[in-house]
Amino acid sequence: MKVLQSKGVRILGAAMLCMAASSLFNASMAACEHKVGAVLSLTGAYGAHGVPISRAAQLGVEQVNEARAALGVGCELVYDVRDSNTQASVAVDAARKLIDLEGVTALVGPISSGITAPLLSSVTVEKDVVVVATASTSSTFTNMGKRGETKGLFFRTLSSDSLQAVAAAMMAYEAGFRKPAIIYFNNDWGKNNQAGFIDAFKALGGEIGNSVPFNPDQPSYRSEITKTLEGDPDSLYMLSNTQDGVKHFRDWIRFDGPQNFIMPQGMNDSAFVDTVGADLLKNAWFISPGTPANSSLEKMESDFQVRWDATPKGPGRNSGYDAGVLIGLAMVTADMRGLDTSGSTLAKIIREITGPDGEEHYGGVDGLKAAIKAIKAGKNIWYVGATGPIDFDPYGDVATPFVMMKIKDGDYVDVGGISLEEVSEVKAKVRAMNN
Amino acid sequence: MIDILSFLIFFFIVCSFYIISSLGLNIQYGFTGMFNVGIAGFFAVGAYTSAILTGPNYADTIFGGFGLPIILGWVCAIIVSGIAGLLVGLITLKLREDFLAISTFGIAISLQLVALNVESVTRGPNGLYALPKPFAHIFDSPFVSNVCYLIICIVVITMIYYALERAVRSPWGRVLRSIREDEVAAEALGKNVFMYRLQAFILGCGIMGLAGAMYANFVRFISPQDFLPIFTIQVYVMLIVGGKGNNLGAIVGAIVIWALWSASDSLINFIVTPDFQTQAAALRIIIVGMVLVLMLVFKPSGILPEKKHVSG
Repeated sequence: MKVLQSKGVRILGAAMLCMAASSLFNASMAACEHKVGAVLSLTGAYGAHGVPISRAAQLGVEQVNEARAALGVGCELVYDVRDSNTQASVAVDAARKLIDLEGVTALVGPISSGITAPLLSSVTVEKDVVVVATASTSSTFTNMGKRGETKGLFFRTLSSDSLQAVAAAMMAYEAGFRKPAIIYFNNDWGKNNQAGFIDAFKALGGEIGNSVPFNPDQPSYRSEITKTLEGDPDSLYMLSNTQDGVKHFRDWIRFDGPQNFIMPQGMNDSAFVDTVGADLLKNAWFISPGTPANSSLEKMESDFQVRWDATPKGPGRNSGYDAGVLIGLAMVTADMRGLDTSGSTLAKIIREITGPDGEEHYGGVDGLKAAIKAIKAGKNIWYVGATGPIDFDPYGDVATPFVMMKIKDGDYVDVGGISLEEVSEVKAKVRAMNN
Repeated sequence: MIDILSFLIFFFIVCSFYIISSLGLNIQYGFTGMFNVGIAGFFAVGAYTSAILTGPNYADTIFGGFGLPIILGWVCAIIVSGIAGLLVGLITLKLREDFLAISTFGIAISLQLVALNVESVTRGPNGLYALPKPFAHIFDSPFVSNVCYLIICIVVITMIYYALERAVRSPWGRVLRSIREDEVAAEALGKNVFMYRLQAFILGCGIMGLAGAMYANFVRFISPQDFLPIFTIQVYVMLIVGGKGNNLGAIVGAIVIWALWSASDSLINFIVTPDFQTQAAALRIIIVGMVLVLMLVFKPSGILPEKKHVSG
């Protein structure tokens, strides 16, 4: 058997040993420890988004752990992130390693929906692992839930495209725009969001200019922007990512497009504001899940700044933080009640600690201490996180209110909120219009 | 222990998709010298063919959801990607070396964009979900169904391996190698070089299509995001490290590189404190890149270099 002596097999053997050794070593550490896993895009197409989201989730887990330790309940919580490389095969492999070798029962989920879906359908559901996704907004998960594919083990802390699009349309109308053009990322998020926006904006009584898709990482977007400018739109809805968004913005300004912008959550990044300059963004309206003057968000942002010495403003920070907190709180709760920490138990607890029938509790170490105390006292709580009050539907979709923001002196300021009731009203109008 | 075993089974199943693609590439690149940089495209054709034929009916597609048996989906995947190989081959195989590379690269990207935009069939970026997995309905335990899937993978790989070994040892395989070494000489000997190249191309594409179909029915969800050029690059690294022109090398290379890809991430997280995990992720790409460079410098023919065949 020459094959057995070949170098390849030896290298392979060494690699396998490394993996097995590291898992054995980890298992022999602290007696009472829960790992909160995360599979996120740290490199690849969404790498730039993944790093801060991971840091926010880690902050959430650490704060729950600090609160727990101060009260002397539950087991140590440790955060362990793996890179998905923004590739499905790498992501499922990473998830299996966390689950099989590290004993993880809850994952902070990938960013892109195209990675989260394979993870659910080939790994986590069959292994009874709960996934809290931070930025997967595709309607596919709702459909999967309806088919019973997710078995209640999927949650997302960012509302689905359909909700975000309606809120963005309401903001645009409120801003006084009547004929926005749209440029959108040619992926699930961009496509679904622009479709929802068009429907909602028409239902509100507005008109839509051209809606133009773009593919990422092109050197220039002149032809796309030229198309969006046809028919004299009065504003631009930019469903871009921040890198390409800078190019769209530049070309739009260069071709004398009106300086009125509608920005989705993905563009809500201070790096973008710094790059294009605040003076051109005077009439740019940003939408984000949350409520105006949300204490959890403010606390999270200042803690994030201190913990990582990096800007807390940007897409996915708030939803990443809430994902970390929810998983952490669920684990502590399971410990306090003497339950196991299997995925289905955690999923059940996550439903219990969210939803409007409980006492409101907030983020930050002190807020989480109070929350854990209340749970210990047997009270029903409602976690009001950095994305606002969280309430999951049976398919794990979250419905959070929205906050509108503008730029003043280079900083984001809240200019108003959109409640869930208002969003539902517009959605009803859309349904009436389509029938 | 059962956890480690269960992980290894999963690892080798995912690895199988790379092994099969690498074997498909070997017949094209390793034996015939055709620089096909469109692997992801043919992999996608196979994946979508099987997904459309075996998958459930979706409310928003106009074609698909036939719910056919998986084996039929896989056979059709081979045929359809073979046909795709034929069409692509007819227009590109007269091109040489880097021109072939550029055109196949472009075709793979176009196929990915077609999948992204023909929403009425592929559901575009939303992807096809809830695809059937073999044995999943027979055995309740995911462990058992994964064991079964691994057995299928091993059987398929063994069949492809022996078929390719026979093919490359036959006079037909000798012509392929002669084309790779000196096309003009092969033509001077009266061989229809284009036809041989086309046959090898179709065979390789069919095998890549099968890999795609097996991926789709295992992962149970496909979207255009799965078929980006990174996949093509991974398969090339595997074949080059393993040893092009050696079918066993193609298999070993795929296992070694995928193991390295997987283990490097565990290793990095083992060494680095959680605070730096996010930055350290990039080390993985560096490690894999370094292995490729070191391999090319010190052992350019790969772990298992090509053997001198005497074809009978």
